[in-house]
Amino acid sequence: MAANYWESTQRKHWQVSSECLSQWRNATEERLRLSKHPNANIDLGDPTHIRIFLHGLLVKLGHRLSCRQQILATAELYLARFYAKASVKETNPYAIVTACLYLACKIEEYPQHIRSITAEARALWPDCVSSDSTIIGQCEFYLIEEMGMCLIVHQPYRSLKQFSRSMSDIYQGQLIILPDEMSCAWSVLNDSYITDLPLLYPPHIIALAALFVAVLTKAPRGSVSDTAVSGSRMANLADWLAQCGADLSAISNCVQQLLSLYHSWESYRDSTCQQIISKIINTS
Amino acid sequence: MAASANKYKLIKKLGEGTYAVVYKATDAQNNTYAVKRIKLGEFKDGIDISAIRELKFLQEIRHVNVIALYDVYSDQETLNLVLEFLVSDLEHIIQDKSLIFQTADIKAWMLMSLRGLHHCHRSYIMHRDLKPSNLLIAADGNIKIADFGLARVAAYPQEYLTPTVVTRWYRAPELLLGSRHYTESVDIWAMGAIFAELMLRTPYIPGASDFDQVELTFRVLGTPTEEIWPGVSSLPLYDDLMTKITQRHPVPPPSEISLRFMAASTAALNLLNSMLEYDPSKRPTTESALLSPYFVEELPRPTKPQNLPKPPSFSS
Repeated sequence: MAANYWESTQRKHWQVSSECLSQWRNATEERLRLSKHPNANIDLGDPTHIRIFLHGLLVKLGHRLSCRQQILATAELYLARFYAKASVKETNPYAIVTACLYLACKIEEYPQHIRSITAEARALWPDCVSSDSTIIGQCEFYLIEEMGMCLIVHQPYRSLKQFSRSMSDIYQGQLIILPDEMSCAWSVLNDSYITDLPLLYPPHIIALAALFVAVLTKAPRGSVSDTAVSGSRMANLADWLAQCGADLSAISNCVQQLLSLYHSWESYRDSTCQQIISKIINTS
Repeated sequence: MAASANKYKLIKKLGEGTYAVVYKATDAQNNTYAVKRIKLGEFKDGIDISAIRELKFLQEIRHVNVIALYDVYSDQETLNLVLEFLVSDLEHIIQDKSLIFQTADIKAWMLMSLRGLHHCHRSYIMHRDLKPSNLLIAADGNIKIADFGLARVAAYPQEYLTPTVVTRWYRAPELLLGSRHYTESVDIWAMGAIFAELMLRTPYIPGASDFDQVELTFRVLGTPTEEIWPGVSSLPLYDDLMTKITQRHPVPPPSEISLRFMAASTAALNLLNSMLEYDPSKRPTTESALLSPYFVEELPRPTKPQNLPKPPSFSS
Protein backbone atom coordinates (compact mmCIF):
# COMPACT_ATOMS: atom_id res chain seq x y z
CA MET A 1 0.00 0.00 0.00
CA ALA A 2 1.64 3.18 -1.14
CA ALA A 3 1.16 6.75 -0.06
CA ASN A 4 -1.11 8.02 2.61
CA TYR A 5 -4.79 7.11 2.78
CA TRP A 6 -5.81 10.48 4.18
CA GLU A 7 -4.38 12.30 1.17
CA SER A 8 -5.20 9.58 -1.32
CA THR A 9 -7.24 9.76 -4.50
CA GLN A 10 -9.37 7.03 -2.92
CA ARG A 11 -10.45 9.34 -0.13
CA LYS A 12 -10.72 12.40 -2.38
CA HIS A 13 -12.52 10.87 -5.36
CA TRP A 14 -13.66 7.36 -4.60
CA GLN A 15 -15.31 7.55 -1.23
CA VAL A 16 -18.77 8.85 -1.84
CA SER A 17 -22.16 9.07 -0.16
CA SER A 18 -24.82 6.49 -0.88
CA GLU A 19 -26.88 9.33 -2.45
CA CYS A 20 -24.04 9.99 -4.87
CA LEU A 21 -23.82 6.30 -5.75
CA SER A 22 -27.55 6.10 -6.53
CA GLN A 23 -27.23 9.25 -8.58
CA TRP A 24 -24.47 7.67 -10.67
CA ARG A 25 -26.53 4.53 -11.14
CA ASN A 26 -29.70 6.42 -12.06
CA ALA A 27 -27.76 8.48 -14.57
CA THR A 28 -26.43 5.30 -16.18
CA GLU A 29 -29.93 3.78 -16.41
CA GLU A 30 -31.22 7.03 -17.87
CA ARG A 31 -28.44 7.08 -20.44
CA LEU A 32 -29.21 3.51 -21.52
CA ARG A 33 -32.91 4.32 -21.80
CA LEU A 34 -32.38 7.50 -23.81
CA SER A 35 -29.91 5.86 -26.17
CA LYS A 36 -32.40 2.99 -26.63
CA HIS A 37 -29.74 0.49 -25.70
CA PRO A 38 -30.97 -3.02 -26.68
CA ASN A 39 -30.42 -4.24 -23.11
CA ALA A 40 -31.99 -1.23 -21.40
CA ASN A 41 -35.08 -3.16 -20.36
CA ILE A 42 -33.48 -6.41 -19.29
CA ASP A 43 -34.36 -7.26 -15.71
CA LEU A 44 -31.20 -8.05 -13.77
CA GLY A 45 -33.10 -9.37 -10.79
CA ASP A 46 -31.55 -8.86 -7.38
CA PRO A 47 -28.54 -6.54 -7.95
CA THR A 48 -26.69 -8.24 -5.10
CA HIS A 49 -26.94 -11.56 -6.93
CA ILE A 50 -25.30 -10.10 -10.02
CA ARG A 51 -22.53 -8.73 -7.80
CA ILE A 52 -22.03 -12.16 -6.21
CA PHE A 53 -21.80 -13.63 -9.69
CA LEU A 54 -19.17 -11.11 -10.82
CA HIS A 55 -17.20 -11.65 -7.62
CA GLY A 56 -17.25 -15.38 -8.36
CA LEU A 57 -15.86 -14.80 -11.86
CA LEU A 58 -13.06 -12.64 -10.53
CA VAL A 59 -12.03 -15.06 -7.80
CA LYS A 60 -12.07 -17.96 -10.28
CA LEU A 61 -9.81 -16.26 -12.80
CA GLY A 62 -7.62 -14.85 -10.03
CA HIS A 63 -6.98 -18.31 -8.59
CA ARG A 64 -6.26 -19.70 -12.03
CA LEU A 65 -3.55 -17.04 -12.42
CA SER A 66 -2.25 -17.74 -8.88
CA CYS A 67 -2.78 -14.12 -7.91
CA ARG A 68 -1.90 -13.04 -4.40
CA GLN A 69 -4.82 -11.97 -2.26
CA GLN A 70 -3.73 -8.33 -2.54
CA ILE A 71 -4.06 -8.44 -6.34
CA LEU A 72 -7.53 -9.92 -6.02
CA ALA A 73 -8.55 -7.19 -3.60
CA THR A 74 -7.29 -4.47 -5.93
CA ALA A 75 -9.13 -6.04 -8.87
CA GLU A 76 -12.31 -6.31 -6.76
CA LEU A 77 -12.20 -2.62 -5.96
CA TYR A 78 -11.61 -1.74 -9.63
CA LEU A 79 -14.64 -3.85 -10.52
CA ALA A 80 -16.76 -2.10 -7.89
CA ARG A 81 -15.63 1.32 -9.13
CA PHE A 82 -16.26 0.47 -12.77
CA TYR A 83 -19.79 -0.76 -12.18
CA ALA A 84 -20.54 2.26 -10.04
CA LYS A 85 -20.18 4.31 -13.22
CA ALA A 86 -21.30 1.82 -15.87
CA SER A 87 -24.03 -0.79 -16.10
CA VAL A 88 -23.61 -4.52 -16.45
CA LYS A 89 -26.16 -4.25 -19.26
CA GLU A 90 -23.80 -2.33 -21.55
CA THR A 91 -20.70 -4.46 -21.03
CA ASN A 92 -19.34 -7.96 -21.30
CA PRO A 93 -18.68 -8.64 -17.59
CA TYR A 94 -16.27 -11.48 -18.43
CA ALA A 95 -14.07 -9.05 -20.35
CA ILE A 96 -14.33 -6.39 -17.65
CA VAL A 97 -13.41 -8.88 -14.92
CA THR A 98 -10.41 -9.97 -16.99
CA ALA A 99 -9.34 -6.36 -17.55
CA CYS A 100 -9.66 -5.61 -13.81
CA LEU A 101 -7.33 -8.48 -13.00
CA TYR A 102 -4.99 -7.58 -15.84
CA LEU A 103 -4.62 -4.03 -14.54
CA ALA A 104 -4.45 -5.09 -10.89
CA CYS A 105 -1.61 -7.50 -11.74
CA LYS A 106 0.34 -4.59 -13.24
CA ILE A 107 -0.38 -2.30 -10.32
CA GLU A 108 0.71 -4.93 -7.80
CA GLU A 109 3.86 -5.68 -9.83
CA TYR A 110 2.84 -9.16 -10.99
CA PRO A 111 2.49 -8.34 -14.68
CA GLN A 112 0.81 -10.85 -16.99
CA HIS A 113 0.99 -10.77 -20.74
CA ILE A 114 -2.29 -9.58 -22.20
CA ARG A 115 -2.43 -12.57 -24.56
CA SER A 116 -1.82 -15.10 -21.81
CA ILE A 117 -4.42 -13.60 -19.48
CA THR A 118 -6.90 -13.57 -22.37
CA ALA A 119 -6.11 -17.22 -23.03
CA GLU A 120 -6.64 -18.11 -19.36
CA ALA A 121 -9.98 -16.31 -19.33
CA ARG A 122 -10.98 -18.12 -22.52
CA ALA A 123 -10.04 -21.44 -20.99
CA LEU A 124 -12.57 -20.77 -18.23
CA TRP A 125 -15.27 -19.16 -20.37
CA PRO A 126 -14.73 -20.09 -24.03
CA ASP A 127 -18.12 -18.78 -25.13
CA CYS A 128 -17.91 -15.47 -23.31
CA VAL A 129 -14.40 -14.14 -23.96
CA SER A 130 -13.06 -13.32 -27.39
CA SER A 131 -9.64 -14.64 -28.41
CA ASP A 132 -8.85 -11.10 -29.58
CA SER A 133 -6.81 -9.66 -26.73
CA THR A 134 -7.21 -6.10 -28.00
CA ILE A 135 -10.68 -6.24 -26.45
CA ILE A 136 -9.11 -6.69 -23.02
CA GLY A 137 -6.78 -3.80 -23.89
CA GLN A 138 -9.79 -1.65 -24.74
CA CYS A 139 -11.52 -2.63 -21.52
CA GLU A 140 -8.38 -1.70 -19.61
CA PHE A 141 -8.53 1.74 -21.17
CA TYR A 142 -12.23 2.23 -20.32
CA LEU A 143 -11.58 0.97 -16.83
CA ILE A 144 -8.79 3.49 -16.25
CA GLU A 145 -10.93 6.20 -17.80
CA GLU A 146 -14.00 5.44 -15.64
CA MET A 147 -11.83 5.38 -12.54
CA GLY A 148 -10.59 8.88 -13.34
CA MET A 149 -7.11 7.34 -13.60
CA CYS A 150 -6.94 6.75 -9.84
CA LEU A 151 -5.12 3.44 -9.52
CA ILE A 152 -3.72 3.07 -6.02
CA VAL A 153 -6.24 1.59 -3.64
CA HIS A 154 -6.25 1.18 0.11
CA GLN A 155 -7.52 -2.08 1.55
CA PRO A 156 -8.92 -3.03 4.96
CA TYR A 157 -6.79 -6.15 5.55
CA ARG A 158 -3.84 -4.36 7.10
CA SER A 159 -6.14 -2.39 9.42
CA LEU A 160 -7.68 -5.68 10.53
CA LYS A 161 -4.29 -7.03 11.59
CA GLN A 162 -3.39 -3.78 13.35
CA PHE A 163 -6.66 -3.68 15.30
CA SER A 164 -6.32 -7.26 16.43
CA ARG A 165 -2.81 -6.52 17.69
CA SER A 166 -3.77 -3.33 19.49
CA MET A 167 -6.72 -5.08 21.11
CA SER A 168 -4.60 -7.78 22.66
CA ASP A 169 -2.25 -5.07 23.94
CA ILE A 170 -5.02 -3.12 25.63
CA TYR A 171 -7.00 -6.03 27.05
CA GLN A 172 -4.03 -8.21 27.89
CA GLY A 173 -5.67 -11.53 27.31
CA GLN A 174 -9.29 -10.61 27.92
CA LEU A 175 -10.01 -9.77 24.33
CA ILE A 176 -7.72 -11.67 22.06
CA ILE A 177 -9.11 -12.22 18.62
CA LEU A 178 -9.10 -15.99 18.17
CA PRO A 179 -7.59 -17.49 15.01
CA ASP A 180 -11.05 -18.67 14.04
CA GLU A 181 -12.48 -15.18 14.36
CA MET A 182 -9.56 -13.67 12.51
CA SER A 183 -9.98 -15.93 9.51
CA CYS A 184 -13.72 -15.34 9.60
CA ALA A 185 -13.15 -11.55 9.62
CA TRP A 186 -10.75 -12.02 6.72
CA SER A 187 -13.37 -13.76 4.61
CA VAL A 188 -15.95 -11.16 5.57
CA LEU A 189 -13.54 -8.60 4.11
CA ASN A 190 -13.26 -10.69 0.94
CA ASP A 191 -17.04 -10.63 0.69
CA SER A 192 -17.30 -6.91 1.45
CA TYR A 193 -16.34 -6.16 -2.17
CA ILE A 194 -19.67 -7.55 -3.28
CA THR A 195 -21.36 -4.70 -1.41
CA ASP A 196 -20.99 -0.96 -1.88
CA LEU A 197 -19.01 -0.65 1.35
CA PRO A 198 -15.58 -0.09 -0.28
CA LEU A 199 -17.07 2.88 -2.16
CA LEU A 200 -18.75 4.33 0.92
CA TYR A 201 -16.42 3.87 3.88
CA PRO A 202 -12.72 4.11 4.69
CA PRO A 203 -10.89 0.77 4.95
CA HIS A 204 -10.45 0.88 8.73
CA ILE A 205 -14.20 1.22 9.33
CA ILE A 206 -14.86 -1.81 7.11
CA ALA A 207 -12.17 -3.73 8.99
CA LEU A 208 -13.84 -2.96 12.33
CA ALA A 209 -17.22 -4.00 10.98
CA ALA A 210 -15.77 -7.29 9.73
CA LEU A 211 -14.24 -7.92 13.13
CA PHE A 212 -17.57 -7.28 14.77
CA VAL A 213 -19.38 -9.64 12.39
CA ALA A 214 -16.74 -12.31 13.01
CA VAL A 215 -16.96 -12.13 16.80
CA LEU A 216 -20.74 -12.14 16.53
CA THR A 217 -21.00 -15.17 14.27
CA LYS A 218 -18.18 -17.20 15.82
CA ALA A 219 -19.53 -16.78 19.34
CA PRO A 220 -20.14 -20.15 21.00
CA ARG A 221 -23.81 -20.89 21.39
CA GLY A 222 -25.61 -23.46 23.47
CA SER A 223 -25.11 -23.68 27.20
CA VAL A 224 -25.85 -20.79 29.53
CA SER A 225 -22.17 -20.36 30.39
CA ASP A 226 -21.29 -20.14 26.67
CA THR A 227 -23.79 -17.37 26.21
CA ALA A 228 -22.35 -15.52 29.17
CA VAL A 229 -18.80 -15.82 27.81
CA SER A 230 -19.75 -14.62 24.36
CA GLY A 231 -21.88 -11.86 25.87
CA SER A 232 -18.89 -10.53 27.78
CA ARG A 233 -16.67 -10.79 24.67
CA MET A 234 -19.15 -8.73 22.71
CA ALA A 235 -19.32 -6.22 25.55
CA ASN A 236 -15.53 -5.99 25.63
CA LEU A 237 -15.42 -5.50 21.89
CA ALA A 238 -18.11 -2.81 22.01
CA ASP A 239 -16.21 -1.16 24.83
CA TRP A 240 -12.98 -1.23 22.85
CA LEU A 241 -14.70 0.18 19.75
CA ALA A 242 -16.08 3.05 21.80
CA GLN A 243 -12.67 3.68 23.34
CA CYS A 244 -10.88 3.92 20.04
CA GLY A 245 -13.20 6.72 19.01
CA ALA A 246 -14.30 5.09 15.79
CA ASP A 247 -17.49 6.21 14.09
CA LEU A 248 -19.93 3.75 15.64
CA SER A 249 -22.87 4.60 13.42
CA ALA A 250 -20.72 4.02 10.32
CA ILE A 251 -19.61 0.66 11.73
CA SER A 252 -23.14 -0.40 12.52
CA ASN A 253 -24.20 0.62 9.02
CA CYS A 254 -21.46 -1.58 7.58
CA VAL A 255 -22.43 -4.48 9.82
CA GLN A 256 -26.01 -4.22 8.61
CA GLN A 257 -24.99 -4.19 4.96
CA LEU A 258 -22.76 -7.21 5.50
CA LEU A 259 -25.49 -9.14 7.26
CA SER A 260 -27.98 -8.34 4.54
CA LEU A 261 -25.45 -9.55 1.96
CA TYR A 262 -25.37 -12.93 3.69
CA HIS A 263 -29.13 -12.94 3.88
CA SER A 264 -29.41 -12.28 0.16
CA TRP A 265 -26.75 -14.92 -0.57
CA GLU A 266 -29.07 -17.64 0.75
CA SER A 267 -31.35 -17.22 -2.25
CA TYR A 268 -28.51 -16.89 -4.77
CA ARG A 269 -28.51 -19.19 -7.80
CA ASP A 270 -25.45 -19.17 -10.01
CA SER A 271 -27.31 -20.50 -13.05
CA THR A 272 -29.96 -17.76 -12.93
CA CYS A 273 -27.32 -15.02 -13.06
CA GLN A 274 -25.41 -16.82 -15.75
CA GLN A 275 -28.52 -16.90 -17.93
CA ILE A 276 -29.13 -13.18 -17.48
CA ILE A 277 -25.51 -12.33 -18.32
CA SER A 278 -25.52 -14.61 -21.38
CA LYS A 279 -28.58 -12.79 -22.66
CA ILE A 280 -26.75 -9.47 -22.25
CA ILE A 281 -23.61 -10.64 -24.01
CA ASN A 282 -25.54 -12.11 -26.90
CA THR A 283 -27.54 -8.99 -27.67
CA SER A 284 -24.73 -6.46 -27.32
CA MET B 1 -11.14 14.31 -11.70
CA ALA B 2 -10.71 13.96 -15.43
CA ALA B 3 -10.77 17.20 -17.36
CA SER B 4 -12.07 17.65 -20.85
CA ALA B 5 -9.73 17.32 -23.78
CA ASN B 6 -10.24 20.83 -25.12
CA LYS B 7 -9.06 22.51 -21.94
CA TYR B 8 -5.44 22.23 -23.07
CA LYS B 9 -3.94 23.39 -26.34
CA LEU B 10 -0.88 21.46 -27.51
CA ILE B 11 1.72 23.87 -28.86
CA LYS B 12 4.75 21.87 -29.80
CA LYS B 13 6.31 18.47 -29.40
CA LEU B 14 9.04 18.46 -26.75
CA GLY B 15 10.17 14.88 -26.96
CA GLU B 16 9.23 11.29 -27.49
CA GLY B 17 9.87 8.29 -25.28
CA THR B 18 9.10 4.60 -25.60
CA TYR B 19 5.58 4.88 -24.29
CA ALA B 20 4.69 8.56 -24.55
CA VAL B 21 5.01 11.76 -26.54
CA VAL B 22 5.43 14.97 -24.56
CA TYR B 23 4.01 18.29 -25.74
CA LYS B 24 4.24 21.81 -24.47
CA ALA B 25 0.69 22.99 -23.87
CA THR B 26 -1.27 25.93 -22.52
CA ASP B 27 -4.70 26.41 -21.00
CA ALA B 28 -7.15 29.31 -21.39
CA GLN B 29 -5.35 31.30 -18.66
CA ASN B 30 -2.13 30.89 -20.65
CA ASN B 31 -0.45 28.71 -18.04
CA THR B 32 2.19 26.45 -19.51
CA TYR B 33 2.17 22.67 -18.99
CA ALA B 34 3.84 19.58 -20.31
CA VAL B 35 1.24 17.13 -21.61
CA LYS B 36 2.36 13.52 -21.77
CA ARG B 37 0.27 11.54 -24.24
CA ILE B 38 0.51 7.82 -23.59
CA LYS B 39 0.68 5.68 -26.70
CA LEU B 40 -1.75 2.82 -26.72
CA GLY B 41 -0.73 1.09 -29.94
CA GLU B 42 -4.34 0.10 -30.80
CA PHE B 43 -4.57 -1.73 -27.45
CA LYS B 44 -2.60 -4.69 -28.76
CA ASP B 45 -0.32 -4.96 -25.75
CA GLY B 46 -2.30 -3.13 -23.12
CA ILE B 47 -0.95 0.02 -21.52
CA ASP B 48 2.79 0.06 -20.91
CA ILE B 49 3.63 -0.75 -17.29
CA SER B 50 5.95 2.26 -17.02
CA ALA B 51 3.07 4.53 -18.01
CA ILE B 52 0.88 2.80 -15.45
CA ARG B 53 3.50 3.24 -12.71
CA GLU B 54 3.97 6.91 -13.51
CA LEU B 55 0.23 7.50 -13.44
CA LYS B 56 -0.38 5.55 -10.26
CA PHE B 57 2.31 7.26 -8.20
CA LEU B 58 2.01 10.82 -9.49
CA GLN B 59 -1.73 10.73 -8.76
CA GLU B 60 -0.96 10.19 -5.06
CA ILE B 61 2.18 12.23 -4.35
CA ARG B 62 2.24 15.98 -3.83
CA HIS B 63 5.52 17.64 -2.88
CA VAL B 64 7.35 20.77 -3.94
CA ASN B 65 10.32 18.63 -5.01
CA VAL B 66 8.36 16.05 -6.99
CA ILE B 67 6.96 16.84 -10.44
CA ALA B 68 3.30 17.80 -10.12
CA LEU B 69 0.54 16.01 -12.00
CA TYR B 70 -2.12 18.70 -12.35
CA ASP B 71 -4.72 16.92 -14.35
CA VAL B 72 -5.54 13.85 -16.40
CA TYR B 73 -7.87 13.40 -19.35
CA SER B 74 -8.56 11.03 -22.19
CA ASP B 75 -9.25 11.85 -25.80
CA GLN B 76 -9.29 9.84 -29.01
CA GLU B 77 -8.49 6.78 -26.95
CA THR B 78 -5.33 8.33 -25.51
CA LEU B 79 -4.50 8.92 -21.84
CA ASN B 80 -3.02 12.33 -21.16
CA LEU B 81 -1.10 13.46 -18.12
CA VAL B 82 -0.96 17.21 -17.56
CA LEU B 83 2.36 17.80 -15.82
CA GLU B 84 4.27 20.74 -14.49
CA PHE B 85 6.32 22.35 -17.26
CA LEU B 86 10.00 22.28 -16.34
CA VAL B 87 12.75 24.12 -18.08
CA SER B 88 15.90 22.10 -17.47
CA ASP B 89 17.44 19.22 -15.58
CA LEU B 90 20.46 18.64 -13.43
CA GLU B 91 22.33 16.76 -16.16
CA HIS B 92 22.27 19.87 -18.40
CA ILE B 93 23.41 22.04 -15.54
CA ILE B 94 26.28 19.70 -14.66
CA GLN B 95 27.40 19.52 -18.29
CA ASP B 96 27.22 23.27 -18.92
CA LYS B 97 30.84 24.12 -18.24
CA SER B 98 30.12 27.86 -18.39
CA LEU B 99 28.39 27.52 -15.02
CA ILE B 100 30.40 27.67 -11.83
CA PHE B 101 29.07 25.72 -8.83
CA GLN B 102 29.60 27.03 -5.31
CA THR B 103 29.57 24.65 -2.35
CA ALA B 104 26.26 26.20 -1.29
CA ASP B 105 24.72 25.47 -4.71
CA ILE B 106 25.53 21.77 -4.49
CA LYS B 107 24.10 21.71 -1.00
CA ALA B 108 20.86 23.27 -2.26
CA TRP B 109 20.44 20.74 -5.08
CA MET B 110 21.15 17.85 -2.70
CA LEU B 111 18.79 19.25 -0.09
CA MET B 112 15.89 19.63 -2.53
CA SER B 113 16.45 16.22 -4.09
CA LEU B 114 16.63 14.47 -0.73
CA ARG B 115 13.50 16.26 0.46
CA GLY B 116 11.59 15.07 -2.59
CA LEU B 117 13.00 11.58 -2.13
CA HIS B 118 12.10 11.64 1.56
CA HIS B 119 8.50 12.28 0.59
CA CYS B 120 8.58 9.28 -1.77
CA HIS B 121 10.14 7.01 0.83
CA ARG B 122 7.77 7.98 3.61
CA SER B 123 4.98 7.09 1.20
CA TYR B 124 6.65 3.65 0.80
CA ILE B 125 7.70 4.38 -2.79
CA MET B 126 11.13 3.47 -4.19
CA HIS B 127 12.04 5.53 -7.26
CA ARG B 128 14.62 3.11 -8.70
CA ASP B 129 15.84 5.41 -11.47
CA LEU B 130 17.45 8.44 -9.85
CA LYS B 131 20.00 10.18 -12.06
CA PRO B 132 20.77 13.80 -12.92
CA SER B 133 18.53 13.78 -16.01
CA ASN B 134 15.55 12.74 -13.87
CA LEU B 135 16.07 15.62 -11.47
CA LEU B 136 14.26 18.36 -13.35
CA ILE B 137 14.56 22.03 -12.60
CA ALA B 138 11.71 24.52 -12.48
CA ALA B 139 11.95 28.14 -13.58
CA ASP B 140 12.14 29.17 -9.90
CA GLY B 141 15.16 26.91 -9.41
CA ASN B 142 13.39 24.14 -7.50
CA ILE B 143 14.40 20.53 -8.14
CA LYS B 144 11.57 18.20 -9.17
CA ILE B 145 12.02 14.44 -9.09
CA ALA B 146 10.51 13.02 -12.28
CA ASP B 147 10.06 9.79 -14.24
CA PHE B 148 8.34 7.25 -12.01
CA GLY B 149 8.32 4.64 -14.76
CA LEU B 150 10.45 2.24 -12.70
CA ALA B 151 9.08 3.16 -9.29
CA ARG B 152 7.41 0.62 -7.07
CA VAL B 153 6.00 0.16 -3.62
CA ALA B 154 8.57 -0.97 -1.05
CA ALA B 155 8.43 -4.74 -0.99
CA TYR B 156 7.51 -7.21 1.71
CA PRO B 157 10.58 -9.13 2.89
CA GLN B 158 9.56 -12.31 1.05
CA GLU B 159 8.77 -10.56 -2.24
CA TYR B 160 11.15 -10.97 -5.17
CA LEU B 161 12.29 -7.81 -6.91
CA THR B 162 14.08 -7.40 -10.19
CA PRO B 163 17.69 -6.27 -9.85
CA THR B 164 17.68 -4.72 -13.33
CA VAL B 165 16.70 -1.24 -12.21
CA VAL B 166 18.45 2.13 -12.05
CA THR B 167 20.57 3.50 -14.89
CA ARG B 168 23.97 1.80 -14.74
CA TRP B 169 26.22 4.55 -13.37
CA TYR B 170 23.89 5.10 -10.41
CA ARG B 171 23.21 1.43 -9.67
CA ALA B 172 23.85 0.27 -6.12
CA PRO B 173 26.26 -2.67 -5.60
CA GLU B 174 23.55 -5.02 -4.31
CA LEU B 175 21.77 -4.58 -7.66
CA LEU B 176 25.00 -5.15 -9.56
CA LEU B 177 25.43 -8.39 -7.61
CA GLY B 178 21.91 -9.50 -8.55
CA SER B 179 20.10 -9.08 -5.23
CA ARG B 180 16.39 -9.96 -5.37
CA HIS B 181 15.69 -8.28 -2.06
CA TYR B 182 16.54 -4.65 -1.65
CA THR B 183 15.11 -1.51 -0.14
CA GLU B 184 14.86 2.25 -0.59
CA SER B 185 18.59 2.35 0.10
CA VAL B 186 19.18 1.79 -3.65
CA ASP B 187 17.88 5.35 -4.10
CA ILE B 188 20.29 6.60 -1.42
CA TRP B 189 23.23 5.07 -3.31
CA ALA B 190 22.05 6.78 -6.51
CA MET B 191 21.83 10.10 -4.64
CA GLY B 192 25.37 9.50 -3.37
CA ALA B 193 26.60 8.99 -6.94
CA ILE B 194 24.79 12.18 -7.98
CA PHE B 195 26.34 14.05 -5.02
CA ALA B 196 29.82 12.96 -6.19
CA GLU B 197 28.97 13.96 -9.76
CA LEU B 198 27.90 17.45 -8.65
CA MET B 199 31.29 17.92 -7.01
CA LEU B 200 33.35 16.37 -9.83
CA ARG B 201 31.24 17.72 -12.70
CA THR B 202 31.66 14.31 -14.31
CA PRO B 203 30.07 10.91 -13.50
CA TYR B 204 31.82 9.25 -10.55
CA ILE B 205 31.52 5.58 -11.56
CA PRO B 206 30.79 5.56 -15.33
CA GLY B 207 30.95 1.86 -16.22
CA ALA B 208 30.95 1.03 -19.93
CA SER B 209 28.95 -2.18 -19.45
CA ASP B 210 27.19 -3.93 -16.58
CA PHE B 211 30.31 -5.97 -15.94
CA ASP B 212 32.57 -2.94 -16.17
CA GLN B 213 30.29 -1.16 -13.70
CA VAL B 214 31.05 -3.81 -11.07
CA GLU B 215 34.75 -3.73 -11.77
CA LEU B 216 34.87 0.06 -11.71
CA THR B 217 32.83 0.28 -8.51
CA PHE B 218 35.32 -2.08 -6.83
CA ARG B 219 38.26 -0.08 -8.17
CA VAL B 220 36.81 3.21 -6.93
CA LEU B 221 35.51 2.04 -3.55
CA GLY B 222 37.44 -1.15 -2.88
CA THR B 223 36.45 -4.78 -3.28
CA PRO B 224 33.66 -5.56 -0.79
CA THR B 225 34.31 -8.29 1.78
CA GLU B 226 32.15 -10.10 4.33
CA GLU B 227 33.78 -7.91 6.92
CA ILE B 228 32.59 -4.59 5.53
CA TRP B 229 29.40 -5.99 4.02
CA PRO B 230 28.02 -9.05 5.83
CA GLY B 231 26.13 -11.29 3.41
CA VAL B 232 27.81 -10.03 0.25
CA SER B 233 29.24 -13.43 -0.65
CA SER B 234 25.80 -15.03 -0.74
CA LEU B 235 24.40 -12.60 -3.33
CA PRO B 236 23.39 -14.37 -6.59
CA LEU B 237 26.16 -13.07 -8.88
CA TYR B 238 28.95 -12.81 -6.30
CA ASP B 239 30.80 -16.08 -6.99
CA ASP B 240 30.58 -15.68 -10.73
CA LEU B 241 31.83 -12.08 -10.69
CA MET B 242 34.61 -12.81 -8.23
CA THR B 243 36.08 -15.50 -10.46
CA LYS B 244 36.01 -13.09 -13.40
CA ILE B 245 37.44 -10.16 -11.47
CA THR B 246 40.76 -11.40 -10.16
CA GLN B 247 42.23 -8.16 -8.94
CA ARG B 248 41.30 -7.18 -5.37
CA HIS B 249 41.27 -3.52 -4.40
CA PRO B 250 41.64 -2.22 -0.86
CA VAL B 251 39.02 0.16 0.45
CA PRO B 252 40.49 3.64 -0.16
CA PRO B 253 41.41 5.48 3.05
CA PRO B 254 39.57 8.74 3.83
CA SER B 255 42.68 10.72 2.85
CA GLU B 256 42.47 9.34 -0.68
CA ILE B 257 38.76 10.05 -0.99
CA SER B 258 39.31 13.63 0.15
CA LEU B 259 41.95 14.02 -2.56
CA ARG B 260 39.32 13.08 -5.14
CA PHE B 261 36.97 15.76 -3.80
CA MET B 262 39.37 18.60 -3.09
CA ALA B 263 36.76 21.26 -2.36
CA ALA B 264 34.57 19.08 -0.16
CA SER B 265 34.31 19.71 3.57
CA THR B 266 34.59 16.92 6.13
CA ALA B 267 30.82 17.01 6.68
CA ALA B 268 30.22 16.68 2.94
CA LEU B 269 32.66 13.76 2.67
CA ASN B 270 31.11 12.01 5.67
CA LEU B 271 27.68 12.22 4.11
CA LEU B 272 28.98 11.11 0.71
CA ASN B 273 30.84 8.14 2.17
CA SER B 274 27.81 7.05 4.16
CA MET B 275 25.53 7.21 1.11
CA LEU B 276 28.00 5.09 -0.86
CA GLU B 277 28.37 2.45 1.87
CA TYR B 278 28.54 -1.05 0.42
CA ASP B 279 26.28 -2.49 3.11
CA PRO B 280 22.78 -1.14 2.28
CA SER B 281 21.80 -1.24 5.96
CA LYS B 282 24.60 1.18 6.83
CA ARG B 283 23.47 3.83 4.36
CA PRO B 284 21.49 6.67 5.91
CA THR B 285 17.76 7.02 5.40
CA THR B 286 16.57 10.20 3.69
CA GLU B 287 15.74 11.50 7.15
CA SER B 288 19.14 10.86 8.69
CA ALA B 289 20.83 12.26 5.57
CA LEU B 290 18.75 15.43 5.83
CA LEU B 291 19.65 15.71 9.52
CA SER B 292 23.37 15.16 8.94
CA PRO B 293 25.83 17.91 9.99
CA TYR B 294 26.31 18.75 6.29
CA PHE B 295 22.79 20.20 6.19
CA VAL B 296 22.06 21.21 9.77
CA GLU B 297 25.37 22.48 11.16
CA GLU B 298 27.93 23.27 8.58
CA LEU B 299 28.12 26.58 6.73
CA PRO B 300 27.50 27.82 4.11
CA ARG B 301 23.73 27.56 4.14
CA PRO B 302 22.28 26.17 0.89
CA THR B 303 21.73 28.70 -1.89
CA LYS B 304 18.13 29.86 -2.33
CA PRO B 305 16.58 28.09 -5.35
CA GLN B 306 16.11 31.31 -7.34
CA ASN B 307 19.79 32.19 -6.94
CA LEU B 308 21.18 28.89 -8.23
CA PRO B 309 23.32 28.83 -11.38
CA LYS B 310 21.23 28.66 -14.55
CA PRO B 311 22.17 28.13 -18.17
CA PRO B 312 21.93 31.28 -20.34
CA SER B 313 19.03 29.82 -22.34
CA PHE B 314 17.07 29.36 -19.13
CA SER B 315 13.68 30.98 -19.44
CA SER B 316 10.22 30.22 -18.20
